[in-house]
Amino acid sequence: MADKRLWELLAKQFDGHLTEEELRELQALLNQRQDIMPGELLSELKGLSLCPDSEDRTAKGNSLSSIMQSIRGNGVGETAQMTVEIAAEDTGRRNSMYAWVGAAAAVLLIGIFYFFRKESRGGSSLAYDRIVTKTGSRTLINLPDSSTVVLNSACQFAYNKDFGVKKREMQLTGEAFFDIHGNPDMPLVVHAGNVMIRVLGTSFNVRAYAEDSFVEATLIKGVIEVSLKTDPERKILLRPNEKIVIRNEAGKTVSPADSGRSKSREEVIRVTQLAVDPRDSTYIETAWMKEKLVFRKEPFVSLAARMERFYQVKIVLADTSLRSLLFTGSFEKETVEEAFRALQRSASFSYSIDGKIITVTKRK
Amino acid sequence: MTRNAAYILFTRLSLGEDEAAIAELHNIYFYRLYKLAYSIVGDRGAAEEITNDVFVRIWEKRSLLKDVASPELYLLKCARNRALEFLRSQKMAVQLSEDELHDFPLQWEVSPEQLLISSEMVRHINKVIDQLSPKCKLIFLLVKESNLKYKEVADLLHISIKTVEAQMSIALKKISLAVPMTFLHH
Repeated sequence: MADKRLWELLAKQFDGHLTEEELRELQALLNQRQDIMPGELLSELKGLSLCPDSEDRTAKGNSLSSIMQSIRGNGVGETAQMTVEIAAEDTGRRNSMYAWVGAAAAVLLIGIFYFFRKESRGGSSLAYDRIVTKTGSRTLINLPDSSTVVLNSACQFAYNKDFGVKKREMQLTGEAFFDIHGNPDMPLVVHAGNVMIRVLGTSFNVRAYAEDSFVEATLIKGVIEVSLKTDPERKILLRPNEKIVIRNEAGKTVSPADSGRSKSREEVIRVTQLAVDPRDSTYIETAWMKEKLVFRKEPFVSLAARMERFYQVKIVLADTSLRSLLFTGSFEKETVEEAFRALQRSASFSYSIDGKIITVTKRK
Repeated sequence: MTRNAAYILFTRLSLGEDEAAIAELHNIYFYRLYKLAYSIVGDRGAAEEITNDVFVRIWEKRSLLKDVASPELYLLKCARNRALEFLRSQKMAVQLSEDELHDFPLQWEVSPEQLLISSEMVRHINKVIDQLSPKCKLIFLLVKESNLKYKEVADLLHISIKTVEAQMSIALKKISLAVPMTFLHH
């Protein structure tokens, strides 16, 4: 009887819904028997993955091609039908759907503010509509050409007043996800830091917060053209699953000694292939839309900057050696206290919270 | 983590005609949906067709996917519903009867990340798992592979959460007892 109960409780524990009372009961039962260590084994079980048998493997291969066929087949069919139906359909959900055809990509920029800031102080600011978002908020903006932009917290975003009439220009300090309505006659240009991104019709995410010392663009689908304001002739085409990192030469994290020496171009601009692991959260860059903070091997210095925006606090790293500590994980519902306790489990540091200010020090 | 991937893929699909996203979604979820469909209909060909159909429908309804709260569960429910529809069309039993679930092979993969479990031990576990009842196997699979909560499994298979707990305790006990502790090396 006790045995049955033991396994019942272990099963519940496996699901993670043991009450405290049940947990005590389970521990008592486990203490009675020294012969097995199911807890340990069961937690190991969670790490195993299942493999399909060989027959299924063939099924899977065939399956994808047949799905693609029927997807593309339908596409052609619908287009043909559309010419007939188009008159009958008033506003046409279908039409608006087709407007998105060929307009899907995602880009991410982590970046600097330096140039944009300078420019936004310039004379051209009158011709722009400006939006500033608070920390801890997400803001949806519907643009006149039916493009949409979702702004993350603490953003400064601007677009030209006659947006969509003559040109489409945007400026961003912060992070945003863009759905840009396709219009080959009127390309859209996003200015973020010292980088310009030219797009024809696409969806992409830009991150260019003032605190960051580099611009990073990750393209998930489509093609975009990236160029530096200091070197507009040099255009870099980004392909899907590529990531471009542009160091901010004027940024505060680059020491004078560094910038004095002329660095090779390759060191300033680096394009790398994104490793797409579907079992993992590859697109940590867009997790913010789900109100999540996801980080992978991220140095404390940049994680702290993101946590400041996420939790609306100020984080002081009191010792420079803390800056390079690397963390991997994600926060969603955790409070800032819980988050720090979690971080402490993977690295050694002390912290104190005083209202909105968190001071991190080396552990004595 | 997979849940997050599914969410991103759903978002991508809802944003436009993203064929790479549907291919990725297929890559991650094909077997899961296929196994669920198979255990309901008991026919490989039909299960494959049902699974394909789920992905085609997902594609057709992609503009609505943004509002799906739990993409993974949504996919599994789609597969379940299509499988039941199939049975109905075949004028077979329409109720999802847990005792009539079909058997399918279930094997674990040996991955390099494992710390305590050796490949020898995985072979051992595989033998035990394959001898579980079809119902037990499917429940275990849904919990283990899709990280479903017991409540979600109960909901998906139209059974009580007590049944899920009972089946899971059987599966866990059998697996644990079948593995000699000497395999656990530290």
